[in-house]
Amino acid sequence: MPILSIENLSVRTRKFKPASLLEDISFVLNPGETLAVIGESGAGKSTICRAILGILPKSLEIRGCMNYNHSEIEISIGNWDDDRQFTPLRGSEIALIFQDAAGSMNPLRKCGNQIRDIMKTADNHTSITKQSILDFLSQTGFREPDTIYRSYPHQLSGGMAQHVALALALAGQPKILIADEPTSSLDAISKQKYLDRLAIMKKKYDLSLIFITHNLNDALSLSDSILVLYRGRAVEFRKTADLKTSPKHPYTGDLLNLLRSVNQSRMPDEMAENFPVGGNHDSGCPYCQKCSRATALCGKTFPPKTIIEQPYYFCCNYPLEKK
Amino acid sequence: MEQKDKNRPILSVSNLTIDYAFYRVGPFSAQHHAAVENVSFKVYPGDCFAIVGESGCGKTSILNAILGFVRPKNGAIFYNEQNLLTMARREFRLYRPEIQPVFQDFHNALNPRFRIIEILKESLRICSRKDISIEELIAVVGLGTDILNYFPHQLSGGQKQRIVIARALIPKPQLLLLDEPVSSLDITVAVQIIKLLKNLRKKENLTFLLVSHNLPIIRLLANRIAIMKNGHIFEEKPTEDLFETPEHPYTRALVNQALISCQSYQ
Ligand SMILES: Nc1ncnc2c1ncn2[C@@H]1O[C@H](COP(=O)(O)OP(=O)(O)OP(=O)(O)O)[C@@H](O)[C@H]1O
Ligand code: SF4
Ligand SMILES: [Mg+2]
Repeated sequence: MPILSIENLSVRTRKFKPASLLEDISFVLNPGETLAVIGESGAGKSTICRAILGILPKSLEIRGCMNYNHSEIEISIGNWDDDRQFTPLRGSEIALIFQDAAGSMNPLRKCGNQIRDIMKTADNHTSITKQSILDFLSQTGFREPDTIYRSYPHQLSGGMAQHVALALALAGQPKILIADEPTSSLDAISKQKYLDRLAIMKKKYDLSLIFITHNLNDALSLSDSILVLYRGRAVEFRKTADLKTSPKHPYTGDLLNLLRSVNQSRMPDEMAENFPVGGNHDSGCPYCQKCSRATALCGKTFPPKTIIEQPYYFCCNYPLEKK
Repeated sequence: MEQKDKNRPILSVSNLTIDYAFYRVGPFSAQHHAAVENVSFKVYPGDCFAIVGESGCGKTSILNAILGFVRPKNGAIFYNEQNLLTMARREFRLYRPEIQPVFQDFHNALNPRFRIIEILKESLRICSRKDISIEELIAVVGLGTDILNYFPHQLSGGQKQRIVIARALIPKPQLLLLDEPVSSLDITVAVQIIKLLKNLRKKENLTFLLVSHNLPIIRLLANRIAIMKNGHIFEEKPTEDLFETPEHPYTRALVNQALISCQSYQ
């Protein structure tokens, strides 16, 4: 039984000429697993995170359903306009880490106090002692909890701020952690430190993880399953191991080829120069202008979903064959 | 100024020391920990010189010093053999348009209250450029006219980065200072931006000084790499030499980590 499942999530603007940010997205997150969401800039990765927490602006129209299921708590959301439904989820069941860690913290409050605020809400406003916060900090891997306790966010280095943001998210005792590009500002060494700690925390607190990234190497090495987005469409949702060995969607195939040449330090061959304009949806396959397999059919309607094995699927008329 | 002698550095930084006791301002993210200590390097015309190191190691401070946003404690910065640090303000203002920054924080680099077309028009007006239309300008960075009426928040990261690059090109710069130009972009877009920068460097005769922490991608663009940590440059080499014979332990760790992450898919 998945801990979180999203069915047919669509997000559109409510304008006179509606644009679509996400169209018909479905995926599941199994307990204890890591789901990586990949896709180019503007594909809608952050929009998915915000939709799950119900923090998208009111100017957007959201359709679809979401089921959260963890031990005794079961929440189904079919109407995104009703904010109250999300209140029991935010922070205490599902926590979100933003890319800009330091920027997402309160600059005027010491880290220790911010953790206290969150712990209080999680523990129904019982008073929290300083010692319990220090204990929590050392449990989340800080060697000098006292220094962190007394620091203001701006006094932390980039890497340290990310670690504190992780601790802040964990203070609410969530079951699902959504990390929106947490390592994109870190160098290779600090990034590895962060990912290592994330893995330890995931085990320790029995978390399920949604990992948003634009780093394919990280997605491939970290995740159990991968959702590939392209211009607001889910084009492929697969187990990571399967995706690596036999991508079905041509976009996924192109992505992996690109990755291989960068990994081997070769300048990739000519790619389509056309730069996608976000939210600009045509009726056909979103990849048809760049796809080497496209036919007239692809330009007309969005290709139907081909289910490989529930819940995994891809959407393409002429999928890649296994090499 | 216009002479382009390949053997004469366009930028020469020598014994630069920056102390942050008093200066914590600048357009790039504020640096609180690392000062820069005794850093020297030379950038030749047409080069793409990359400084690689972790966040907060002092990379951005060097760029801020070149732009005149912080006053170094010691050292000299020669731009075409003129010392930027000792010249008069008035003279500095003459040189300054030739050196253009491309911000790391490009999400905030564009004023959110103006449409893209207004942002670019304003820059064209300030630089009194009448020889290029907005349409031509955004075509240079590979964008279509449809985005002109958008506000910055409606653009994707890659689109914003292209707009920021387009704006930096308006004053006809010689030297572009790029702070993490691709680190927050995904691979397809990063590769496109790298290609765009490579082409621009040739077409517009530009020289790049860029700072980054992403070795695998920077490897595709830079011809020289300097490795920086805690305010010092430890090692500086042509790109391929650095990957083949990293000397300093930190360089080796960095190169190794980069190569390991590359092994997830070969
Ligand atoms: N409030 C809004 N109104 C209209 N369009 C929006 C709004 N917010 C975002 N968009 C558009 O939705 C699309 C998806 O944006 P989103 O931020 O989810 O992308 P992303 O995949 O997270 O990209 P990145 O990798 O750059 O973070 C983009 O084209 C963006 O321009
Ligand atoms: S549906 Fe057609 S255009 Fe789209 S990815 Fe498949 S083959 Fe290419
Ligand atoms: Mg995002």
